[in-house]
Amino acid sequence: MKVRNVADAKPVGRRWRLTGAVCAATVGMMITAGCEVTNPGPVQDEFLFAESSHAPLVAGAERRLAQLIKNLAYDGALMSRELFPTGQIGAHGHPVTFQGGHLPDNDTYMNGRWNFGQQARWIAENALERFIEDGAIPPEEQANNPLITDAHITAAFATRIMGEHWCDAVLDGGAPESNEAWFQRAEEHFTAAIGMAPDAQRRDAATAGRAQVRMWLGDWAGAVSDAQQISTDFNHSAVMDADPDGARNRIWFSTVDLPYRTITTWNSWQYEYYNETGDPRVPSVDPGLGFSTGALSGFGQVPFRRQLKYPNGDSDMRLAGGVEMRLIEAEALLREGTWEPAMDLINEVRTRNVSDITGQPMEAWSASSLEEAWEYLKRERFIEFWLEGRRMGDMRRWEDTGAPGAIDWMDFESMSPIFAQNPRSRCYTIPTNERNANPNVPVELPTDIHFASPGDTPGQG
Amino acid sequence: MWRFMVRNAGGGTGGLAREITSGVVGLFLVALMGVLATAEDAQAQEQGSITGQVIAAETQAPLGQVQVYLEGTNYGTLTNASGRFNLSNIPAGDYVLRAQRVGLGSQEREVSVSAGEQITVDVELRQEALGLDEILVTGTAGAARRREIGNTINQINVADLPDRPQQATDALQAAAPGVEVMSAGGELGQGSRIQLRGQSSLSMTNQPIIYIDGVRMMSQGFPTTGPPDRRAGRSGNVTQSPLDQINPNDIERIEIIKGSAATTLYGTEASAGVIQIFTRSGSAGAPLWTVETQQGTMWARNFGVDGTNRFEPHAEQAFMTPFLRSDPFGFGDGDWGTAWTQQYSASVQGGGEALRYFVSGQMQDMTGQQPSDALERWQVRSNFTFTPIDGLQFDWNSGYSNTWQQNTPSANNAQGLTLNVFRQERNYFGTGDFDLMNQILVQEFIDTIERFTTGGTVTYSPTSNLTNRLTIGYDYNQKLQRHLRPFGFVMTPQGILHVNQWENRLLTFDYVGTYNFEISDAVRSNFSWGGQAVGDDTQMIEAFGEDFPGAENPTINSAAINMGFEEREKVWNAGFFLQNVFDINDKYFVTLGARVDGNSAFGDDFGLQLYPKASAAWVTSDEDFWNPAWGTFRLRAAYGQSGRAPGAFDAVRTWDPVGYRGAPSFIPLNVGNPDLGPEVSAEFETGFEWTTAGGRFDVDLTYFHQTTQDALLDVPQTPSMGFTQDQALNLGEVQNSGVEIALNSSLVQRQAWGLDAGLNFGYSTNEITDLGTVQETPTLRVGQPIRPMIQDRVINPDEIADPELETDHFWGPTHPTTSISGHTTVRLPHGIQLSARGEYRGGHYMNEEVFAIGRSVRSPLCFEHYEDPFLGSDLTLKADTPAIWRARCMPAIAEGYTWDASFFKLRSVSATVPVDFAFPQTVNNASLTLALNNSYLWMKEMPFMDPEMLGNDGINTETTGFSERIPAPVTLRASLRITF
Repeated sequence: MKVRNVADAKPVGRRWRLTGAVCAATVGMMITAGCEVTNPGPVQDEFLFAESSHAPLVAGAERRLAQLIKNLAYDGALMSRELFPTGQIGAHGHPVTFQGGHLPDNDTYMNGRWNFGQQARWIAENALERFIEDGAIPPEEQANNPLITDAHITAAFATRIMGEHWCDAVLDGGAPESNEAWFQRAEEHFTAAIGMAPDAQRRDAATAGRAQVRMWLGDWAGAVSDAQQISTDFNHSAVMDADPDGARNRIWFSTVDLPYRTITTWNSWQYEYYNETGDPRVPSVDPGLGFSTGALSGFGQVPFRRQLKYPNGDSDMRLAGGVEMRLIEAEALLREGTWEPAMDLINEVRTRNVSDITGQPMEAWSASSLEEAWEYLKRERFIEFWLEGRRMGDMRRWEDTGAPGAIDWMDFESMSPIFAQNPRSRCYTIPTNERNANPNVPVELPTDIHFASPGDTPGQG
Repeated sequence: MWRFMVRNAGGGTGGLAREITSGVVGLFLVALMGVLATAEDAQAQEQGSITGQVIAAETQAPLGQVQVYLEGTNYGTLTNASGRFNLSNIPAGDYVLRAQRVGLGSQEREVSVSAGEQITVDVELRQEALGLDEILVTGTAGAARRREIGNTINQINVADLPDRPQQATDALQAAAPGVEVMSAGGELGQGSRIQLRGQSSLSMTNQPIIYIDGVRMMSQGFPTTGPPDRRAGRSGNVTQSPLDQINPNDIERIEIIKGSAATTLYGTEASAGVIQIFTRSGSAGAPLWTVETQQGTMWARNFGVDGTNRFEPHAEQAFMTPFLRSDPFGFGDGDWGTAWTQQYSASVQGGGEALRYFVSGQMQDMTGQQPSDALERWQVRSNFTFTPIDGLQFDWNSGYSNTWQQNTPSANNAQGLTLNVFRQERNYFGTGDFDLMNQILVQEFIDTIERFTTGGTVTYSPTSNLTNRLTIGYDYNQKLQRHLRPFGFVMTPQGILHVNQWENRLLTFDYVGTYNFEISDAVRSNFSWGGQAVGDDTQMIEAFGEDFPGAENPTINSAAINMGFEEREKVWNAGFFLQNVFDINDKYFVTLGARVDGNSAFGDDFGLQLYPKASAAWVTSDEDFWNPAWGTFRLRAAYGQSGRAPGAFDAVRTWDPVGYRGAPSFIPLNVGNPDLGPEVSAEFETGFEWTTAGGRFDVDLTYFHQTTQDALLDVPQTPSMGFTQDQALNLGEVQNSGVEIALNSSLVQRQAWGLDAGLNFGYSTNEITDLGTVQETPTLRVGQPIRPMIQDRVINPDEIADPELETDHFWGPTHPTTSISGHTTVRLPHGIQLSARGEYRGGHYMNEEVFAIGRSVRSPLCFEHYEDPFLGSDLTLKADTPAIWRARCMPAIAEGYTWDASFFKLRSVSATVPVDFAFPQTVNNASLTLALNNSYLWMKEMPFMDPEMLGNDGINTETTGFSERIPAPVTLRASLRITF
């Protein structure tokens, strides 16, 4: 092949033009191609004004609410001795101090739970802002709008749950406030929802929720007034959906042997009580799997007993119900010193249930004094709301209001030193992620007010 | 019958592996015989021949791997280990014979060949002083001579490596100062992480970007995933390296540039350095065949407490001994046989003046130290160079690899072997019983990886001083994970199948133009301009099925519950640059340049980023005052900037669409930052290169100081404001600096004997110097290094008392600050060569205790302190237990596991013996290499495991961690390589 020297064949000016054209085209292509990319997946904020995004936005708040209660019920069961720890740490377990009942102030364990609660409220309120203030829903369609009602209800339950578990409130990047701020925000939302609820289910949910927060705010007349509007059979629940990344019932998962047997009912008061009475509200079983997966410090492997209250990953978790309304009415009566009618209400709740052992309705309690009636009220709430994330708040509320009567409190201290070593936390301190990021919240919080001293009887005024 | 068999889902490997082995060996032998027969036929037609020897001018020692060819013809070959070559079948005539090798000068001889005669031509090659006129490509605009460049560039000639590396990353191990290759663990097929000059980014990757023949290739590890329920660890946890999918025999050389002073022209994404791989290209001459077979084995070193533990027979391997393949010398239980690796490679290169080619193939078949670990890989490459006319050249290089691998469920995996074996009676079975542990192995974790890279480069030089080069390349990576926990598996009795298909595509457009002109008699200018665009597209599709009806070979659709997931992410980076090199008397060189970049991940309000550069080089030894006896000397200094882009979604305010109750829902994801830009690293480096003592000693010293401004920090958001995910902000500042020294010497130079030794020293530290408005935390604090070791410390370790703890003690960095690697080669008579290479890394800390003391696991570390080491449930300690061991052995404390992680490893010991005598004369080069890798480990403080391990995320993580992995094994390999 004859080799031709290109350099000899073309004039220099033409070569430069060719080079320049290639160069300019290439660089232009590169810069043009470079910087305009829209990736699928995450949804950009402005798209949420579209009507098709309204329902998913409220559903996002509801999903976070479900994640909040499923985790707080799981954690609270340890803190208030509704279950017995197995020593499991890490995956689906708890830090050792937490198993003992104590959350150190600088522990990061509750950061995720705080996020769930704050987001449940914030998403719902963000939706309300878009729907109402920004006009994403036309004014003529706002009255009796189910989405707006649901947003109010979701924000309200989220703040009620946060108020029951955290010692202090922080809202919208503000400074710490008394935990009453949670309940006040919840009451506003419940009231708004009641005023616009398009159906009885939503109205009753909001009314029952308002009764709960009014009880916390000490507005017993208001609480009773709301409670009396709700039938005993009514229930409103956070809906679980078995999604491992979302609203899968965590208490179910922690006891279902996949592969975790993270927590056990063994040695809990309810386990003993269930074996004795067969009360169907606190069901447990020995699945024959031997021990739990962890090993408790100073004790060793813990016998595994499985709770049966939540039999599936999508077992819903109750947020409010008519049974609680009766117990609120009963507690209001006890606070007035009227214990006999209160016992009637307590036994009305109790005898609705049929024993798994006898097949007969549960036997009514019989009290002979106001203090004894208080004890039964506390016990009945302990039984009725087992693993529903209510116990921790109840104990704190009773302590703060000086409610008489002891509670059923198992001696864990003799089983392992971790219980005596970790003084029980009554409530959770504002977690580190809020303290580190929010300039209005001090990083270091006082640590002495949130604990019950070791040896105190919790839940007793 | 390699890969021609249909492998049904979940097929075993036992008999099949044997079948494959025999099939491959058969194919290899048939091919080899055929080729040899052809060569013999050709020899029968000989017309004239040239034989001779190439030796080193300085020592008269023979030189192997020298390319010897007749210019303008298709006749060429490589010298053997004795420096000898033979060119046969040469038509009678006059020729110019050229001998050349990278790093050595080239020599020409005029020769005249007569029919039926053999002539002898001996050639002497001389070591190039500093390689000053060596052409380097990476980080330069187009190409440049080393003497012009103001920064250091490391070049690794892979053919020179004595131990026949099995993976491409092995070629980088301890190869140059400041280059850190970190093994992720001992699982078969596990990759290694590469970092250059330590770490300088707080939140982004510190791994360099990689190019192959000018085409950007994937640089991060292939991801590992598990079922979509936040249990990503439920797999073999193997993160393969894309580099390991490249046949090391295909690599001619690797160039490494380490800091921003050198990487400016690569712009955004290059501040962690650039590695460029150059594969072999064809050379004019008759077809030159190279075939190689490599056979080997591997076994575990002790990684438990020690080898003589009197309480537990298997504690020396953390109870894993019954589950490991035994070593080839008969130790161990042997229930799983001995691991075996085999590898077969073949390549041919040749061509004429207009078209040259290099074509290769390789097959690998291995079993690993864990019982289910098996790997099969085949790869092919074709490189063509076409020069139709003077001044115009097309290069088209393509490589494809296909890897099938099966791994044992391991690492931090609750359903994995290692975790459950380490924890014995405190595991998820409640027992360490062999038969129960065996049930774990019914899980089938199979990964299939395909990699394809192709790139075309057109180089057009219409005049001798004007060059245009355009490269368009495409890099495709796919990993298909099919992980089956079959029906009946004890932990998921109904079965689970998880399938994940992950793909990454990189598209490269790269243009550079260079124009040389004289400014004056003494000053020349080399002006360059160009642009580059790289598109990075990642897609993941995942399916998950649970609860099967009992079928043995299920698919996702046969599950009662199934789910699907998809992720997509695309990033484009584009920029252009201008650069001018002023060349003054070929002694002084001043370079000025800048690059401007845009990136799709930048915020809308950010705009473009400018990266300037300036450098100078002075060939001092060319000055009149320099005494030539002093050798050659060059001073250099460089300053430059380059960057790292934020993540694809970091700048945008987004919501995460997630399902809830079977319907869509939105939750806040990223608060967004329209001003988000890259973090920009500015580096100054200076140093010198000096070769003296007649070329027998050279030193390369570099000091560098880098400041990373606008460092991307993942800033926590206020949860009560709704967004909880950290937001990347350009707030921080990090400084890192260090020294790199490379020493190489030929201590003994005789014709038959020789001793070469070298030492690489690297020291680098980093420090956070500013955090902007970000709240300090114990692990993120001004004045501390990136990713410090912050752990509780026992302050009364030797006291017979309960431990007193200092919380959040700052121990030091988690990344090694010092690395020292040494290598030596002894040359013996008859071309025999012995080599060794070792590496020390130190100055860093690790924290891990492996045995999950906090879960009341009975740790073999604590045996001597337990009252009764045989009673599993009683962890009571002896009364005279010191505080440090009480902290380590009491489950409620479980502290005291922070160690100085300094270590030394003997990376390689090898011997190469020429075995030409065993082959026909047509074989001009045959050598046998024995290589023992990873055979010795010294650890300063750590009593167990291996400090070179990465966590569950493997090579895609920035920190070290055991995560219930086992260490990389010892490997022993024998390679036979023949060239004809």
